[in-house]
Amino acid sequence: MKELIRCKLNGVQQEFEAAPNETLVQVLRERFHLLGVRESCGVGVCGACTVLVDGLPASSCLMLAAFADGCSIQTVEGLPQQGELHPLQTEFWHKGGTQCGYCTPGFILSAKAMLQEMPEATDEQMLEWLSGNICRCTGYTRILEAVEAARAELKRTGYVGA
Amino acid sequence: MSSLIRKFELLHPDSVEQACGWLAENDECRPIAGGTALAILLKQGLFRPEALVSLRDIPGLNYLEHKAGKGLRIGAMFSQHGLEISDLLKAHYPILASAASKVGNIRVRCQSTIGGTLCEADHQADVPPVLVALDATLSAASRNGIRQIAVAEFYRGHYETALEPGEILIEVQVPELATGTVGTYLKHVTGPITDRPCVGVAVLLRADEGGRIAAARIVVGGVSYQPWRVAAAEAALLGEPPSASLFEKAAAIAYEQADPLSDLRGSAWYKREMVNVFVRRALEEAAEQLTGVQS
Repeated sequence: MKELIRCKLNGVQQEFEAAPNETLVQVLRERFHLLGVRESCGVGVCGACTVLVDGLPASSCLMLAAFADGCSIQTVEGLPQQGELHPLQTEFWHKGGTQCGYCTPGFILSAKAMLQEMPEATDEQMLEWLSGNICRCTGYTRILEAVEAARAELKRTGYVGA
Repeated sequence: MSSLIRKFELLHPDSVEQACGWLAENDECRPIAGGTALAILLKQGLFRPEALVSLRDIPGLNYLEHKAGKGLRIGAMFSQHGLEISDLLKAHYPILASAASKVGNIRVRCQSTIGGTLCEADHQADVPPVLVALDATLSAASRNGIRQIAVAEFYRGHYETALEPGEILIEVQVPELATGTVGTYLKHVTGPITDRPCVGVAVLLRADEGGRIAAARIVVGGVSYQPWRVAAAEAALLGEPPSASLFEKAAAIAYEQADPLSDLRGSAWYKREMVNVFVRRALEEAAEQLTGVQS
């Protein structure tokens, strides 16, 4: 029996059906073509499948699509506002926090949630929060610099985004 | 890539009674809460239920309350991230907030629940040993009512709990901590920091006015199918003033009595060595807080 799912997806109210055995990452990619969400390890360890559910990070590879019902889901595609990139996106680009780009959406969403919950996160807190996202390219230093730069930019501009 | 999960029916009870009823009627039907652990088993084909009963729509299972003199009541659906960031826990039960903060990564903490981590009954978990140290009790609901189970008696074997068919966990209770109780939870990993623990040690200590240890709890996780309370090591501490040699002695007792299993994160001999190291370190760390209290 199909599940009827009503949720907000990147700010837009959606209504769709999914089988109980479908995961959220499958539905987001296959149904909505949101290719910034990737299934990599498949066991919730690498963070490539990160989405924000009601503002908090979740492994969409471990989330039944049905569990999105009633929630607000955000993927990286939902970050730009009126065609303008979110400061996190800009800084990952400018600071070289992205190379192949595969892990980047996951990192950006995780960082977004972190800055929301802990705007004054210390270096240690930032490392702990982001320790759930794996990058094979950058060596992480520029990722952290990007997040710091984005934090400064968000503060400076009083950015009120998605 | 994404492994296909076998088809199953997803049921949405709107009450505990309805959930328990469905579970009692069909033992190929199991509950699902956060779903992170189950999703892995489903994807690997190790878990093939006919139906899953979602606990997510049942109201009244997601809360954290504290009553002075009575202790904590935590709804089974309360998330581990909720435990991690709770100011209430940081003030009154910091060891629980600390253990919750060390679970996996931020995503699994946000998605998973305290009830789920208990019922998953994986021996490599951070929160259950702390709940044993805190003398927590659990409420299990069924069609026949609610019964209480001590966390220390909750585990029957690997991935096996004392829950009967048709029962679901609905609440965790933690008694009030005696004034002056300090504690720490240490998680030793052999993989990345986000890994499950190889060995975890929860310690609670309380000293009397003379500075001698009046109460102690030492609970080790990761070495047995259930959290292991090292009663003999606790007993060795009582009535003694805290000291490095006392903690070495207690750790040596734990080492003596440890009979760990081997798993992917450590062999039996390695875990035994780590029991010695981390029981001692946890006692030392906890005792440092005692000094603060005493002064």
